[in-house]
Amino acid sequence: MFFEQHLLDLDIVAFFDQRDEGISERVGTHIHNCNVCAARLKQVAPNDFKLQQSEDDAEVVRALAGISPGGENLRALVSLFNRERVVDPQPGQVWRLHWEDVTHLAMIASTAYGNLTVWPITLEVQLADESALLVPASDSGEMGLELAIWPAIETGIGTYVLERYVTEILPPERLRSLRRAYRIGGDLPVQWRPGAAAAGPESPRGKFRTDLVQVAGFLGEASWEPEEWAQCDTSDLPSLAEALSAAGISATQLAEKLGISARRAISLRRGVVEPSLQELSQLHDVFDLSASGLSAAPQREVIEALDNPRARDLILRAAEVEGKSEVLLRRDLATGHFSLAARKTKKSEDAAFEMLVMELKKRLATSQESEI
Amino acid sequence: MGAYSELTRDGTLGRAGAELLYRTTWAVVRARHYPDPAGRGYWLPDEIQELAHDVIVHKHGGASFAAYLVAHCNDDLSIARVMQAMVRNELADRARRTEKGRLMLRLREVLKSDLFIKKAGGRERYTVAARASSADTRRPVQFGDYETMRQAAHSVTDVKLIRWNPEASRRSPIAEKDSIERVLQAVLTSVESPVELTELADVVADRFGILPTPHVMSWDSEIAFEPVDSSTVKADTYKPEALLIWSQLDPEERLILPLLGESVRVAAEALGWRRTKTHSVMQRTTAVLARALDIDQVEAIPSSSPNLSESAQVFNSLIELSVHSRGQV
Repeated sequence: MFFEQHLLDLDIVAFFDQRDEGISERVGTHIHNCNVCAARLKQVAPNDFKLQQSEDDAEVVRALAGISPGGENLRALVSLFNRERVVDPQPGQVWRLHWEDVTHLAMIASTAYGNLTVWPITLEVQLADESALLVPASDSGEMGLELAIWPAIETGIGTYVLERYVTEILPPERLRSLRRAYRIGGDLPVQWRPGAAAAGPESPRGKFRTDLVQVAGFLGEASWEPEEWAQCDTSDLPSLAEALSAAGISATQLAEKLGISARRAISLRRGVVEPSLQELSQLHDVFDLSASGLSAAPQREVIEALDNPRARDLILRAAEVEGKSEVLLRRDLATGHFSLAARKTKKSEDAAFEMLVMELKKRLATSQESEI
Repeated sequence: MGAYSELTRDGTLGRAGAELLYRTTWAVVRARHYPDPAGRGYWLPDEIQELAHDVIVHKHGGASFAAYLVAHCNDDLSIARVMQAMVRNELADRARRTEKGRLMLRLREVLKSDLFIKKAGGRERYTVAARASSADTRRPVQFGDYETMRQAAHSVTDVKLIRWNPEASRRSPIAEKDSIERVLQAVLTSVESPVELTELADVVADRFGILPTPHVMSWDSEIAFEPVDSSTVKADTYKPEALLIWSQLDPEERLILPLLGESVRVAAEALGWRRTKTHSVMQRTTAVLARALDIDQVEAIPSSSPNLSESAQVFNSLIELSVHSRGQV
């Protein structure tokens, strides 16, 4: 984890007051294993009064609404994050990145040769140092906010770190010339001024930059694939027909369990036709046939489908409802039955993605049903 | 409905968000034992509410509260974490504002020197004596002047730093008189017009690293907020200067002290930190010590020698403090 996963002050104080039995066990276990939080618990001040809540909340909320800088501008900003637009990552776009407990804005700097690099973006323009460029609100696309972008902290990330497309600041061509000019110290093709010089690494700007470098480093190192997968050659994975054969599944069984004609079952068994997505799904449900066990690593198409930012929202939602970490869910999916889709054709990326979406929707629906 | 849902639906805090902010504010105050503003020894609900309101209206490094939440949160837990950091920063910023008041008193004292002149008129404005007749008193300080003054302040070298951390437990002066005097001279010479005391204080605070700018997120969570524990330190065992510096180092800087001569790899392994983090803490600590001890290369200080310099003795005393405090953990 990037943050040292310490308890919130809220949890510590609630534990101190023995207020919330629901969290007590979790908090107690953490405190038992964490010297820092155990020390924090000892420092908690007693509760001298009950903070006014319940009936007075309405008044409190009204008071906050009066001073909270909401309004149309912010609604517009929020709607940018909400609309879940499906776009392919391109240089010049602003995305919200997310991994584990870090959420941060960044602009895509390059997608050349399949490598995605980003420049971190911060809203704290007063803390931008001389290496950052200050983007006026009028140039920040639909965001309408003054931003600081940090070309000197360009970082390579996986596409699975992209969480939400926000807006486009520069068209790709202009971004390319900006990147080139920044690198060689030439005249920038935009009127973006640098921030103020940091007075050493221990100054507020220096510390802010250090934090940002760490955030970028963390996002750059984010990965969900186990290392051993990277070392596996998945190019000679057995075909679906071979997988059926290895599992001892006959054409008769296929016809019977999948409810398909004998002729189609024979064709599937021989590998002369491609299975539909529904048939693949049934193969898993009925025969528990998955890619796991056949190979240590799933095929590239499976990984790419999971890395596709268009699937991110569904993955995060499924991880939340199943109470799993995102990394575990991704690994589970990669070795689960959806990876069979990769065997469908040689150009099976789309099929793998469709299958993944189907699987995730199914999981979400199942969780909702069980809640009801 | 949770705070995040409200935020993404309405673009502002709703009932759940407001409640979360108040509860977080109160929890931070209690968990950190922050003193109440009136000094009576306990907080009133109104004061907690006012603190929470200050968090909202505060410009978080230039960003508005809700915009910051939208950019950095994607669920209720992340909102709670960000709110916690904001409340802590607001409290730290209050400490800095108090610090600015102290700094203005100190500057007023230094500005009594013959080197400076206080201009007549309503506002408290100063210039250098050499510019007494030529200063354009009618011209107010312009926006660009601030950057000029800031650069002038940073161009002054050999500044002996006595204190750089506004939240440090000891209330020693920010720097020695001579250093402040030279910085003020450079700043006031760099601009045409006389400068108001509050503006001077901002520039000097920036020069000495106590810029009253909110540091919105500390990504290193708890350890950076651990209070200074001097209870286990026997003061007479260590050099007084070392204790003064020690009281201003943050816990990470303290931990890395004995490892400053090591490679980043070795230090990272010894502390169990990431290398990027280790590298940055090493850099930061080295820079702080170089300024505080007024030396060029901290790593080159010998650990033992018959004629150790004053700085080397202080440095070695700091390392002993670090080793001692680790033994206490």
